Amino acid sequence: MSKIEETKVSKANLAELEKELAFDETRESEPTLKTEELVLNFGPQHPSAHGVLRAIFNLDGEVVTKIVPYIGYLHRCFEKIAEKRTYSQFMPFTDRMDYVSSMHNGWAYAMTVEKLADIKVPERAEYLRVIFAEFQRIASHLLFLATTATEAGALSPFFYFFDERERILWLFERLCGARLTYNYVRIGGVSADLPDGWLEDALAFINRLEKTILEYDKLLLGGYIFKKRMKGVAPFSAERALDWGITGPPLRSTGIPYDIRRSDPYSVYPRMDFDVVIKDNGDNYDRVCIRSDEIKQSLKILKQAIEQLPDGPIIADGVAKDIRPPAGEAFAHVESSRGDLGYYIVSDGSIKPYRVKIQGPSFANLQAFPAIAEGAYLGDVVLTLGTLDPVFGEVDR
Amino acid sequence: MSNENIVGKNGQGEKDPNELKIVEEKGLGYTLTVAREDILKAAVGLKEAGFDLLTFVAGVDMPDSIKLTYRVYSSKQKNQVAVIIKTEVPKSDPVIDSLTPIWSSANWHERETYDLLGVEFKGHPDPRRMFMPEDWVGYPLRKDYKDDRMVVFEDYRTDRPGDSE
Amino acid sequence: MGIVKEQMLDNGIMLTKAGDLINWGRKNSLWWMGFGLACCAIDTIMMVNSARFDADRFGILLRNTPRQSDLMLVAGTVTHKMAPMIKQLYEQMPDPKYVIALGSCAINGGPFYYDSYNVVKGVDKVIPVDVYVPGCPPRPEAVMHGIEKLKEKIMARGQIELLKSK
Repeated sequence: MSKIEETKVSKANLAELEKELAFDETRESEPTLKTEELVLNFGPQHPSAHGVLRAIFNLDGEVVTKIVPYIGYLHRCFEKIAEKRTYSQFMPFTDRMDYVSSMHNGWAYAMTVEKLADIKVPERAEYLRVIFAEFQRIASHLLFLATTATEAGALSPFFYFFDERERILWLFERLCGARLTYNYVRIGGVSADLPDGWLEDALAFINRLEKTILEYDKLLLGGYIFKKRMKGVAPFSAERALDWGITGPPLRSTGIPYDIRRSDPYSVYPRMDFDVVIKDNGDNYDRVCIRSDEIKQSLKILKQAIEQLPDGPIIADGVAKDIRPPAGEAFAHVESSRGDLGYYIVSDGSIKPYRVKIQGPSFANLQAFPAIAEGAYLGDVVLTLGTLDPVFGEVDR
Repeated sequence: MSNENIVGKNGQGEKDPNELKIVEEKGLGYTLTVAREDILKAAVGLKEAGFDLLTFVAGVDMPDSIKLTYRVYSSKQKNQVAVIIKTEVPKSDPVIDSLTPIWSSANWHERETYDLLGVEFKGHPDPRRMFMPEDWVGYPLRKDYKDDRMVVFEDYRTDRPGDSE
Repeated sequence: MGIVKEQMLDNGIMLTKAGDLINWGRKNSLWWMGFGLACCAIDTIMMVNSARFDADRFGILLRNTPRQSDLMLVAGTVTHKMAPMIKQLYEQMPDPKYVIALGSCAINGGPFYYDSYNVVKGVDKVIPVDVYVPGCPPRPEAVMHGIEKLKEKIMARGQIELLKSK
């Protein structure tokens, strides 16, 4: 009873506060005041640019009227290098593409080559990939929440989210020895089986995060200041999102249930029971909340995958070191933390791919950045860029 | 799911069946191979049929032509299918109609293809290089692209099969 | 605090060289600017800031502008398009300035990109580097070790500079 009253009181206070803070027209500047457009350079090295984006902002007062992004500052020529490596040699490069969710890149590439060469992956390997990928998705979304909170001015969530992420990295480290670039997926399976006691520790972590994520929701997403800052800012409709080619959480936040795990099922995802999270408004707040909700769904998948994990081999028999797939083309994609991540490989029957095209979701999402953010305030533009969560290893490739 | 389900009922089937025929190809799924003059027509037809998301444009440097591959996805169809459009432009005249009027997302994908493979897109609103600096010479993803920086150890290069081409 | 204990006399007066004292101050308040370019930025620059590694306790504080910082952490692959900006930002930093190259890419162009047409083979082709921290990416502990090495170097450099001025 007292709780309800408390919220009522605080709501009344907030209404008063809002009235006080409301825009006062009488204090508006004189119409005769001369204004002119300001051109502002952003990046390529900027603490909140999420990497190496350079953009030119045209400012009318505080409102950004035009954005022209320039990319290519991290163009490492992966597609050209791929033509000069054998199929297995290209595997470590995929980790460095979308370095915040390395696992998904390796998986998408391995899936494409397996499709091309008709390799059947053992069931245990598929489950291990799902477990690893969902942990990776959680780690990536935690990093997203941490950086978004920092950009919004909330500095303490950074430490909480990174603490949780660190625990996932410990699990990864025990499994494959690396903290960021795992190289865990191999063509035909995975590189290592679970060490003793790994599953127990993983379950303990899942149980821990299930509780703590609710606290973090309260801490960050439930905060009045955060809501005020994010709600209704830079909204995007479903039609425009599709037109601009957005995929992943930003597209789902507009109400389109496009999740490859469901719309083009791969691996053992059809056996898992989970929901594709969608939101309606497509504004900054939805784009942040959807990540938190996806973490909860990933935890659900992880529990099922660990329960169903079968015994058996972890890599397909008879996969040669130098794979020679028959001439042909293949396309396979996975739902990475950022969206629809696909590989299109053309083979000419030799040990090296003829052409590897990487369909990076960050590239498509970043492309819509001007369309989404134009018309917003300068302070919100950086946040909007943050909610799209581009990773420049994947944008520039 | 037959071919008619994807585009047939939405007006495409009335046209010449030889011209726009969707076949299922191994490893790729549904593909539609068109001549380069028909790319705009095919794209309009697919857009009308509900294919509203263009996810990538890829160019492949073949010996005497550049193969272009587009992947479009339909969020409106119940079965949520994707179609891959394939076309070819000759290397002597690598020009093709831009699909930016139909899907805005074609913008950067086409710029990338221009940057790395030198395919020109007619009617593109912003035909600049994407990744490389504006003054870069050559198109890196072409097979005959030569660059001194691409080799570190000269002896290593001669050891590798396929690099001498 | 080593120099203080060693050279403190009984009556509380400390005798030391001016260079040592200045450098002692310098090494304990390194304000760094993160130059996160690629993968390494996630696991080194962000991690040393996080609660587990907490670089702040060594007096290493993140400044977001080159004009207020004296240590630049270059983490990631340097491309030909990016190289001029790195030089420009380095020149904006006030003296004395130090650079740590984090990860294989910043050291020599990376373990993989030797035949890439757009990757600069190491950031030391563009700006002078004080300490190299290897790894792909380096562990956060390695970054902390690199910073300790830089502190040693700062102390040593002071003595050399003093000799020169004489």
